[in-house]
Amino acid sequence: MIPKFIHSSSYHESAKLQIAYLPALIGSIIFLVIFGGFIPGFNSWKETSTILKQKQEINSVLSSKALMLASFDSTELKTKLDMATKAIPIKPPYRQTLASMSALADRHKISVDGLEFIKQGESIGIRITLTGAYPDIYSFLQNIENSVPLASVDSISLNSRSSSDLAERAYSADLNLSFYFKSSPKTFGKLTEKLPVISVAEEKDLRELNGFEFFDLQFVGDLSLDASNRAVKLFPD
Amino acid sequence: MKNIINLLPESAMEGSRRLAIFKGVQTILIVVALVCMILTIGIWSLSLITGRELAIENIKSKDLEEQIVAQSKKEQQFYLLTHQLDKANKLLDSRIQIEKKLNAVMTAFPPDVNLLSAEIDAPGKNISVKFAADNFQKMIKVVAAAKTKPFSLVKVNDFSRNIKGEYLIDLTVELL
Repeated sequence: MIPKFIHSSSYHESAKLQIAYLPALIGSIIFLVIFGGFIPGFNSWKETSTILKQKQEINSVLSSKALMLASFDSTELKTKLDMATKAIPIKPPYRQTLASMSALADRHKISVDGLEFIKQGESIGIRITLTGAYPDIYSFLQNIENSVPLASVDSISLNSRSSSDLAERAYSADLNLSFYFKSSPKTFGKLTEKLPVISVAEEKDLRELNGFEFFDLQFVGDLSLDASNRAVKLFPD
Repeated sequence: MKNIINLLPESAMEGSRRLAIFKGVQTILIVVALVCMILTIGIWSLSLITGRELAIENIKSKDLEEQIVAQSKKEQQFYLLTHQLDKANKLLDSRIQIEKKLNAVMTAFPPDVNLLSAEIDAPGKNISVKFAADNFQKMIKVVAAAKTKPFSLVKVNDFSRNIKGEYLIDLTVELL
């Protein structure tokens, strides 16, 4: 009976081991697999996925940027830029302004009696005193507003000098004009930044600007005004 | 013998039931462990694949950056173009063409009166005009014109006669 009892006891221990320890062992394995394998793996995958998504977005921007840049025709881009910087120069356009004034005054047979430059933010203020017939002053104004660098006539004060026929009548006109410029941007955008877009309106403006007149700097030499010479010395471009 | 009986389940049926429960629990645990292992292997594989994709994207990014850097001159020109165009657009949209106002003054009033002066500000609506005429009827025509489109008479600042006997009128009109 005694050996039989011993055998039964060991069988019982084995059963107890199976019942109590095996699930614990499997549970430990599950715990280890979850916390030592799955969770770090999942975190690593999540992190890599986020970085990948960001990288894909950046690459999409870079790709479209590279494609866009490749599609630009260098000559066309240079022509457009030339036109845009003629319209809105990077530096204050003192010389071009004088060139426009001089050429237009000559063209419309207007005498320039005085010219004064006023520095004002992103434009050059000019006070100009002219004498001429009304149609010539009118044409002068029209031409100024349809030439580059872009200008706006802020105010006009017209005074009659004689009292003959309207077309012949001489007027003295004090004009306050603003010629605009815009300094070059300090940075040209980040490498990973999208390229700016030229809107339809801006494309239209570019076409419109093509019809605007630009006076070459050679006209500056023809200026007979002392003020212009002073301005050139004061504000060399 | 009594001891042995104590160690054994209460009945064969109960023993069999316990064994079935145990086996069930054991099977579930094994299945869970296997699923966890498969999922772990899966997630690590996925992580590896994602890592590989990231490496490819990094190479692609470097290549694209090199392409862009090679065209940096074009890029700068384009930035500058949009920068200047933006200003040109705003200016072209907002500027008031003063010569149109001036032309209105010169054409809307009777031609036989003498326009002595005109003060026009681009942003303002009011225009200050001074006229001279040799007779009163012409002055009436001036006032009538100041009250007719495209003008609206704001006020008569002055009305007088000079030593030559000419009538002088100083008006403020509003361009409608």
